[in-house]
Amino acid sequence: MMRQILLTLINLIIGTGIAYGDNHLTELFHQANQCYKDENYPKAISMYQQIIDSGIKNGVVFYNLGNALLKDGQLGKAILSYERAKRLLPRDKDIKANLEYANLLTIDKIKEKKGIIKTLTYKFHHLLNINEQTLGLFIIYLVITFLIILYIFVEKKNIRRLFITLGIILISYFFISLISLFIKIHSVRQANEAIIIVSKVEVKSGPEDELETLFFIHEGTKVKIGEIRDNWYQIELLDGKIGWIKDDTVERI
Amino acid sequence: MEMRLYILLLTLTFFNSNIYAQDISFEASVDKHVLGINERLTLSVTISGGNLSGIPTPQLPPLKDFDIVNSYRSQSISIINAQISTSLDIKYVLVPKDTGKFTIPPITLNYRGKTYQTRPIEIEVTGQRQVVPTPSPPVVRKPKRVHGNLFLEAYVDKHTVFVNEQVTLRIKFYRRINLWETPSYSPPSFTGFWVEDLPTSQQPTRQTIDGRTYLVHEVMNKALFPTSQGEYTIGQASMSCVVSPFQSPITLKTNPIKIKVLPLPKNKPKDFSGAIGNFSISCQVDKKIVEENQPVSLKIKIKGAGNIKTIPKPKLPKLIDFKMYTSGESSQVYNSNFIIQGEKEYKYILVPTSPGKHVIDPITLSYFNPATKRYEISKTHKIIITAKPQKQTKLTIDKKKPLKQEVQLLKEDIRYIKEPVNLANQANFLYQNKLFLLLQLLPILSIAMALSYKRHLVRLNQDIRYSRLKGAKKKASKGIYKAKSLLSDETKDEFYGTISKTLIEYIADKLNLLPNEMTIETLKAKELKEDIINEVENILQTCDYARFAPSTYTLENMKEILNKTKNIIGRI
Repeated sequence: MMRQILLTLINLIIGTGIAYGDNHLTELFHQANQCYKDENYPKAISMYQQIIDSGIKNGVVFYNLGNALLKDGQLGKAILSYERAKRLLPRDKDIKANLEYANLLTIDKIKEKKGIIKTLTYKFHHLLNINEQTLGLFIIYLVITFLIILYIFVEKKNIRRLFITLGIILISYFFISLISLFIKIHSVRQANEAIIIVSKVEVKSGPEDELETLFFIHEGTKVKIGEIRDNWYQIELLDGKIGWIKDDTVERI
Repeated sequence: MEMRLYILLLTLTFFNSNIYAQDISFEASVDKHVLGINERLTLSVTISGGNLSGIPTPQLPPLKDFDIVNSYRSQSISIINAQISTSLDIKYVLVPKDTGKFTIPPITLNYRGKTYQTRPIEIEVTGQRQVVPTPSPPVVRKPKRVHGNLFLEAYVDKHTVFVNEQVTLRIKFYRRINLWETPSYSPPSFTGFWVEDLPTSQQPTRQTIDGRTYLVHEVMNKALFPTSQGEYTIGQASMSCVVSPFQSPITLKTNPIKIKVLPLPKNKPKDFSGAIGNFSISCQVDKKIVEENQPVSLKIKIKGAGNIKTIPKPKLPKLIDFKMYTSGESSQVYNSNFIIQGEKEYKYILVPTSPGKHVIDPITLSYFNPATKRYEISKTHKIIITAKPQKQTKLTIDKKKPLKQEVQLLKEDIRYIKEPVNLANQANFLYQNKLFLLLQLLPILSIAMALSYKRHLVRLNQDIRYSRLKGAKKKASKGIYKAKSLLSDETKDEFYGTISKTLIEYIADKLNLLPNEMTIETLKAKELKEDIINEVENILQTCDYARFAPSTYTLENMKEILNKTKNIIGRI
């Protein structure tokens, strides 16, 4: 049974092994790639979309879809797709590079206020995807357990003291990492980060058309969704500006 | 007679205050700190900063020791690298009323919710008071004839006005006789008023009063704008005339005129900035259809009757889709029928930053109209500017260069698609896997087990009773094992001895008794079950008998007693 569990774990993390037996989807994926090579981007987009709609959430598929969308000129959706890919494959350099490139093309230049601490926590937070972090936490959990058991049986004071120091470090790391994981899961569940997918949006001061326009934002800009009222979203930009937009102008990551 | 001036203090520090906030500086200075009684003092109030649109005129505090003779206002604007810096300079000419040390109190300015204040300025006025500016000794009151032949009159068009509403002052000189030389005129003081000059006609007119015909000269016409509410007096104007070289000069004086200045009604509109009169605002663009990133020039004009110089720059609506540059402003003051009127023009350059229809919302100017005694609003029309997209719009993404300059990375193309072998669903989350969640209990359980084992070890070490209890079974099974090996006819005696010893020791360990304490009575006292006690008694008796008369017991009996013993050990 242990072996089975371990195998499942490895499969979940690395995503290799079982091809999920669906040759049809693999075939579709190859066809989509071929369409991309032939520069038939709209067709490639619809094929990648089909794979995703069938329930396969794969970073590579999102990445390729993002490329096709960008080539097709749909900047907002391309950024959205790259963001989704990045969540699944957080350390992938190609995704990062293309997302950066796509962000250069957006009109809004929003400066996120970031200190060193914020940058570091951001890097730490986005180093691993959810499964990797879950497994990492589990391993730390096992190590901590092992340390506790050793602590119970070892009598020598020096060694016990060492175990306590080590334990405190590991436990703090464990909790920080756990909080980070909870935040990650929460943001995936809530899907409160979203990308503007239309070329220009008027941001109103409240959830009504007649209200005053506070500012404009353009395709590809990342926003955070706060309150939801009817078909309006309250959004917050990375620099802290707040306003209301219609829900059909954005798509959640 | 000339007065001698005594400058007493030369070391008075030159005070000026400089308050920086929101890049506005507000300061007041004087041209001299020590002056004679008959000298004039210039007080300049300077406001400078980036953008002074909407700045109000600072309020002068009441200066009881000085008369304000005149005031000027000048504004300079410089634009360097699209940075506007403006400075507004207001000069007041003051004449001291008396000698002594005086202080010009702080001048306050309220702007965008902040209050700016200058430092007080100390002034020392020296010298004796010059009684009358006329050089003549006491005038011999000449007969009525002369007086009636010459007189000076001051007229105002109204005696009750609102703050900043125009009062027209006209001073006329009437004469019936010729004068020996041109009379010397000294103007009245205008404390509390902003003064604008009005033209005077050079040609005398004729007027008949009480049957006498006079030549009437216009001496002075002024438009006065009271700067704050209260009662103010327009001082006396005087004129000294020499009728003939043999007579001493005659001084003519006007009567002081009291003006009552009313405050403005309270219901001020939000954007009201102190404009009084009757104004209109208009707005013009040079073209309404333009290519993206091409400039459009916008002109805003304010026109009307009233003290136009004090009207601040109108507030422009927010123009999100444009870059805006100020390209200049001009103002012009003229008068018709002695009413001060003017025009102010502000020019801007707008550059649309994105294609589409962009609306410039109406610009409003609210003002108080003293004629209707109401606040009124003038509005410009809404202007729509259509920005056409630039010619090269259909660029493929590959060639599209990022617009933002700060980023040095200019990649030629995006990275190529990936082609992996399998399409695993990476959104299958481990934390939702039930097996994985169950696995989380394992470490906790192992810790619990480790803890209880540790406790057991500690008790074995420290608690004799516990260690006897825990060791009893092991010892007993050793005894049983030994008894089994003695299961033969030759070792009957030894066999029964072992059985008896094992059972007694086992029970003693279990109940934490010494082996010699082990009697049936103690067992009864320990509340063991009746049948167990009977069985134990039975086994022990059998053993005793067998050791004394071994021949009566067969191998079968031995096996039976062994099983009985095993059984009873299991039950206790």
